[in-house]
Amino acid sequence: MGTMMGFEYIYEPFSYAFMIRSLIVAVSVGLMLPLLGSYVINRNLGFMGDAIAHASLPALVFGLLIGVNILIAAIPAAIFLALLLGYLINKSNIGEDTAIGIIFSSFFALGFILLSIFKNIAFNVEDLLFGQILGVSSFDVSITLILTTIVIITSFILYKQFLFISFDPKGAKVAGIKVNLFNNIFLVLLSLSIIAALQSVGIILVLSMLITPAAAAKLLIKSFPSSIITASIFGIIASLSGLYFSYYLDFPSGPSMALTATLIFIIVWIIKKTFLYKLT
Amino acid sequence: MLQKTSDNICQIVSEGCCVELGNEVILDDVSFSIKKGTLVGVVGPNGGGKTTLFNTLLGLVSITHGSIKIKGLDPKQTSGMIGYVPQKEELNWNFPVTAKEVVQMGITNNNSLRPIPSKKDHQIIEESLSKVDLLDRINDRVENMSGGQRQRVFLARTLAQGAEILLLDEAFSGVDIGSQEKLLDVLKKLKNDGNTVLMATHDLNTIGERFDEVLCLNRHCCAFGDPKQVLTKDVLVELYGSHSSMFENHTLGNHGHNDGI
Repeated sequence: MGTMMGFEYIYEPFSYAFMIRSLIVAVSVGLMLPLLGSYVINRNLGFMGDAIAHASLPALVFGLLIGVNILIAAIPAAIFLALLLGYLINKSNIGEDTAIGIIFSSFFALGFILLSIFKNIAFNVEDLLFGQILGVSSFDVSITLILTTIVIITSFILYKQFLFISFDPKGAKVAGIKVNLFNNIFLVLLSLSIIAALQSVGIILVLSMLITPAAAAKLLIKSFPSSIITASIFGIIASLSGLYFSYYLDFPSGPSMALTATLIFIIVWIIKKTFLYKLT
Repeated sequence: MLQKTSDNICQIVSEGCCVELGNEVILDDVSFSIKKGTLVGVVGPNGGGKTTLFNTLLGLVSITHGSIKIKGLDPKQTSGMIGYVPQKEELNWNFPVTAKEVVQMGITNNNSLRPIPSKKDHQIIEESLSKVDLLDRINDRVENMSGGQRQRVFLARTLAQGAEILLLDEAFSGVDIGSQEKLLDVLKKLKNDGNTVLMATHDLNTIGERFDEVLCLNRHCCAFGDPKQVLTKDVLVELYGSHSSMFENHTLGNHGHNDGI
């Protein structure tokens, strides 16, 4: 590595198959989390995203126990969680944050109890919490690509409905839009994207990739469709940086991505403060 | 006061409508009938049931007793037939939508799978904005518009939706006099095109001068009919109780004079 010059640092890692796999996962995660994050920050659903990530821990442990790929174990669990949270928010009168908080903490606690009971699980818990993008398998890549395709295509074709129910839920209901159905579809997409990101960003920091690139884009761009695209570009930059930091410095990928996303946010904030206007 | 008319002439017929929310009776035995092409003002104190009546007409709240028929149908069966102009507070302004995007929502249904509007959609959006005199603001953000312009954009949305019955909740809230007049001009134009318009408002003077009928609500129907005839002192006392004295000098024909009603 010491003899490398300039651009070699950028492309040299991709002479390894595992780095190609990691690259695909990084770009997928960087693309889809901020895409949904643009809705999440404007609908104040950040806590919900964090809850889905944390509450998936028991499913991940269960997957490890029975020896299936953790993504396979987590996907049905995340869909269940999304629908459960959606139901509780609609039907319960205990308040949105309270309902999410109860699910979040109890499922996360259950996950750790399971981990303490089954100490023989051959898995590094730190990787689960903080991400280890270099460890993804070909199967992980396939699942991530499928999830990314589902998330992007669904968000694209249901853009009008998602925008309507986000901006004016009552008006949407009055106009005959099935608000609960589209809300549930959105929550399921959110869960799927979070699950796809768990291996690279980790449970603890998945929120950073969900909201920070979207928040930076919102500072810079006013138009909602343009801010979605900008958020995804920022997300890809942040996730690729996580890949390089992991490769060259052996940093956990989650914190690397989170800090790069924050750095992007700070740079954008300074640019905005300096020029004092918003691009359109 | 209440003119009973058959359903085929009247677009909205309420007969003894009662609505209870929790343990409270919000609407008690409310009856009225509204003909097609009428501009109706809905007045009453805060908490008098105006918004609940609108929510009932929109099918969002269930009727406990009595009935409401819209073109002969139960409100829960009229999904999409009624256009609703929301209060500013009901909207999530974190989303920086343009006038075009708002009006496009009027032609969005459960099966709209094209994120970008078609040529036909464009035409409907432009026609609707043109009817409310805002075609030149099509690409402007709604949040940057004045209160009156916002209301007109949402009216355009109801027109794009193809709704004949339009409900406006507190449409004059935060809207200056000039913009109120512009909005009223648009409402009159829509009324003349055959739309039935119900608007909740606190502006009694405007009701008297510009509306065909007024529905006075204070949990029950205090009066319904031509505002020049029904907005009497007794009705105002029934509507606003002891505070009604503040209207004494401001009822029709008594602008600022102390010689009573």
